[in-house]
Amino acid sequence: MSLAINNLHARTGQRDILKGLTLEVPSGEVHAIMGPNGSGKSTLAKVLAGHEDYEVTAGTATLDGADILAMEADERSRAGLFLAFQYPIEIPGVSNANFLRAALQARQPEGVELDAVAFYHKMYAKMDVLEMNRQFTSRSVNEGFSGGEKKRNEILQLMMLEPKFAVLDETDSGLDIDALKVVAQGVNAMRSPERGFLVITHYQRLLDYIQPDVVHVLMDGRIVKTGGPDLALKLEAQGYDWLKEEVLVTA
Amino acid sequence: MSASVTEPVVDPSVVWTEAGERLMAAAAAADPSALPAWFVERQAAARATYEQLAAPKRKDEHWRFSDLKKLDVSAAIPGSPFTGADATAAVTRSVGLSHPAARIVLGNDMLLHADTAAADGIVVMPLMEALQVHGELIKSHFMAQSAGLGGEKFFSLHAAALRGGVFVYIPPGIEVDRPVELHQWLGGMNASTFPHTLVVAGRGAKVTVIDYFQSLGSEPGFACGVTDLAAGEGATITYVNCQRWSRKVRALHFVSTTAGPNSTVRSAFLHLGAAWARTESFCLASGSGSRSEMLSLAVAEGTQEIDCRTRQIHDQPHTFSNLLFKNVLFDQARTIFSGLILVEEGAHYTDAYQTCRNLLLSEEAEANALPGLEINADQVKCSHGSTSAPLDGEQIYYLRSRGIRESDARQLLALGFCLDVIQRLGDPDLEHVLSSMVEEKFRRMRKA
Repeated sequence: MSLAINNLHARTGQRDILKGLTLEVPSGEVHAIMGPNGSGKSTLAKVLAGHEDYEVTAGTATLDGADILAMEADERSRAGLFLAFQYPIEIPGVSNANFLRAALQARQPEGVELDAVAFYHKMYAKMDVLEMNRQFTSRSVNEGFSGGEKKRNEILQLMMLEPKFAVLDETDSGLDIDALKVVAQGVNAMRSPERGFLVITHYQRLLDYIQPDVVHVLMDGRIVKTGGPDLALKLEAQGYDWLKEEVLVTA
Repeated sequence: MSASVTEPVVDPSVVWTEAGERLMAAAAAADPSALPAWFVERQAAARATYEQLAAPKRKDEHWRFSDLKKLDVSAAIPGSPFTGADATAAVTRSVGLSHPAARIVLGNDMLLHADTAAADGIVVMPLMEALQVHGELIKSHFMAQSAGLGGEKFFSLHAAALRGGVFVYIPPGIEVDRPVELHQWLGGMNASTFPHTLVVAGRGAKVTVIDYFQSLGSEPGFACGVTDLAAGEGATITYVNCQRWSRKVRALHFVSTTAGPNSTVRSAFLHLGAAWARTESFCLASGSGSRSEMLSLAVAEGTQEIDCRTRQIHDQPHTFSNLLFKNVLFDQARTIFSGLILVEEGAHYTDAYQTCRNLLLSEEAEANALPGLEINADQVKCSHGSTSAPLDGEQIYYLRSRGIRESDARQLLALGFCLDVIQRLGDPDLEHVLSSMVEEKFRRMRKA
């Protein structure tokens, strides 16, 4: 069981961004992707989640063997893929609770209504882990939320939807250290042998709290280096320049 | 609805003259000794005014964009009293909030049911009855001002044909904590109704009135209603006009608000039914410190046309008004919003706002907006604006990224667009009732 990406090429507008990206996240593992600005990190997240602005020109992406690139965005989610957005969208007039109910209802067999009591029990329990006030259930999705509240809300959705694989796109951006710890607590609570994570981040800091099994470095649309957690520490200390040189040498 | 509409109209003025004679006859036949003299004179004057005024034409400024062919009254006849099963059905189907302070049910303007036991110290009664007991009070507020928004002929028709209606009076200092509910039904082939709601709140009084307009069946019909809201000093009135006529009804409704010093008046339309519906709402901020909020939500589908004309008048300093009209358009639906903020000379320190927002869910739908502003005073804060747009692609994508199917995502967002109007009423129970009606319409449309 794995999220497998092979030789993925993708573009937006006239610009090629992913240029042959290959990696595999087996279930039960947490992989981090680090890379300088403009290397294609967020593009990878959006391509996997089926954003219409991105066009896949070559390569494959499969979730437990199923071709996710052939699926619509909502089918990918129901197939077990989750993306925590870097910039969550505000939805005026739609309450958080109704939003989550609709998302869970979409996973029910035809004609089967979601158990509302069980739903609220579960949602409150997950909100407690994330130290979220109950008032967030009736507030409009992300509307007027602070940066930290939006990210907690993303993790709440992750916890409610229980995907097979979760991609976290710069979930640490805009978070202070306390919020970061709470968000990491939510993610760590979801780690299990049946679930894989792909954690995209610019900074090593997040990886102190969500410890990865594998670290990949993405540069210019390709994975240029893969290593253990120590690789993230080295990047934090030395930046990306040494890697650029290494890539140039091997090229 | 084409099957039920009669032959194309040749000369509208002839049609209106003949229809007027039919529709005003029933009220004219009423026993004048049972009514105050001023009221009888008023009806006679209204009849004359109706006959003098020309039928509206599309090129009239106040009827721009309006499809007058849809306002076909050539077959309209006075409504007959509800009897037997119809009367029982109307009363049984008059369901709103669970414990209203009072509940009145009318069928074709005739009283069917009145439950006013819980309405301690307030007056909620049929208007014709009230004229005999509270005649002087009614006289000073009854259709005291015309909106001047183009519908004067129909405003006169209403006054002349009126034989039903409800009077709500809250004496000074009394706060009614549960809403008063009025259920006004229309029934019978080509039947007409002239609903009238007069709400007077004395100094410091507080009341919420929910006015439901529904059809018993799906026959064509005609409705021409008036609501007058008069808030005394420091009073608070919330009024909801919930229009759920059958899809073959043509309807006009006039709402006039007078907001006294330091009063708060909130009026809201919920347009779900009718083939063609037009509202003319007028609010006069006549007392310093008054606050007026005008709200509307229309969900239009098929070939429905919802036409809303508004005027916010400030003639005293230190007054506030805010207007938010929203339309959701499906299929070939049409909406018209035409609004004017008028700040009179000397009405300094006025705060007046006007917003119209249209959500276009079909490329064939048409939303027309004519916002306007006229300022003749200093130190005012005013703004007006309108937007028309389809659903936001990023919002749809976000919902879909959580597994919600596209059609469900669209519906959830459209409902979200609607809800903020309803939420502004600030009453969770009422919010639940009104949003259920909107959801029900969405559900029905999806099945169709």
